Amino acid sequence: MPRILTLAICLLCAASSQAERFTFVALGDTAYDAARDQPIYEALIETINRSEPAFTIHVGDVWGLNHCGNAEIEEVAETFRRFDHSLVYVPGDNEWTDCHYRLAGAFDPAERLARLREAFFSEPASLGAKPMPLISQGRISPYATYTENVRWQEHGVLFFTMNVTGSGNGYRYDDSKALLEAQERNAANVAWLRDSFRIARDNAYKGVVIAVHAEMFRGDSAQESFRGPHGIIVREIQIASERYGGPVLLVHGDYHEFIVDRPFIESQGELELPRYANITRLEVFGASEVRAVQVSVDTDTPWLFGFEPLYNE
Amino acid sequence: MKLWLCVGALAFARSLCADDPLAEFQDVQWETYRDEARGFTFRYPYHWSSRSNSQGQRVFYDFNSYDSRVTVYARSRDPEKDLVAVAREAASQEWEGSIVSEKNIELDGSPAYEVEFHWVLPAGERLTAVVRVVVVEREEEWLVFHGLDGRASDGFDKGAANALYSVSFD
Repeated sequence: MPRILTLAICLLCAASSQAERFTFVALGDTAYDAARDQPIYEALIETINRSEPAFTIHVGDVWGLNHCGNAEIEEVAETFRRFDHSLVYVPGDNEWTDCHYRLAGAFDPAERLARLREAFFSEPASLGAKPMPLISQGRISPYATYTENVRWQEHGVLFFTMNVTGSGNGYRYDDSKALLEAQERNAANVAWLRDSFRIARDNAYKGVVIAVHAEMFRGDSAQESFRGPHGIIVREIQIASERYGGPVLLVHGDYHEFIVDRPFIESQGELELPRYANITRLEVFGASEVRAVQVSVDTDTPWLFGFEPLYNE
Repeated sequence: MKLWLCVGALAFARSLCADDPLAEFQDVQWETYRDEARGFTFRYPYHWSSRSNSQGQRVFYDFNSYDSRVTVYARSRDPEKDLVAVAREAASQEWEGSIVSEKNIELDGSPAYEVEFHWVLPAGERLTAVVRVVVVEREEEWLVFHGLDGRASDGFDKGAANALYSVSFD
């Protein structure tokens, strides 16, 4: 009997430890001007390492309008190895969607995305010095190509990434091949989003964090966000988050402004609670401000997420 | 000893989690609505929304177009009416139009009647809407599933059509 009691207490201890706080770091749009920004970026990584996050999420744009060659990708991989913990990377437009520009090397964007997949997504694990296992859409679903869409959980909070980029999400209306790629990728993203929220609902996850590259709320009105190349993703986030009901954090980069707000919120007057109030958006800093954001997660609070800038002088 | 027990307990707890829910993929196309009071579930296209209207009926609708919708409500059984009459009434709702097809069906073991009706809306002579209604006979009430496709082209809306026949009773 005492052993059973000890076992029960131990299990309780394990369960209560699940409710402890943790932090993760989000950053993106780093080192656009390599000569100026790379030393700042490397010092920032040291600062991030000292903060001992559970993991870091890089939401893409690992360079500016830059040559998109294999050598540059290898340099990024080298930089990623400086993170002494797990690093989850979401591709940005600068490293594939925009690589068709002459200044970027006139590459085929789809070919560059394939190269990124080889370099960073060949294993179902994160990057960084301490890779953590990830579930990849490419390995468990019919959407086998999309190895960059991943999910994992930390202390009862579900995290997932989607390859949604800036630059019109790759919808180049003068290029039928690009259009087809974008359409197929959006279908895969929608399937991944729906399935991830299904898991969050069915298994009572305490919160959901979505990481993409693109800023999707630049229209003149909230309704404009539902149109255009990001419209379907915006709408799906809204539907899924409302049905889920718990705290949802959308993390992205692309426009380089540090913003924390609730872009979906819809007032219902002063007597009713607003709709979509459970969705918070974090847009991370970006070049020329090479900075990160430390996100604290406390699963014992209803708001779950707290935000603090993280950078060097 | 206690430490080893803890380690063992944690290992056991982890083994229970071997079937990682994150590793299972489902292609989610439908959302389920459950009516606790009447003991049935009903599925509708995932991207549709749902709300109650002023008459207390549940409306499921395509948020993007507003053209397609399914309205679900119950009517108390009236001994002077039969299933066919109720279905025809629900389909026409006193609008101009004509029944284009009707038949007896069965939904999840319950007798039901299906009516397809082409409304002619008063807003314009050429504006029409296709209505497909399925009424299910239950012990004390009729359960009405009223589907509307305002585009009236290329057949009845597939999402609405699927939703109409999706009812499942406890």
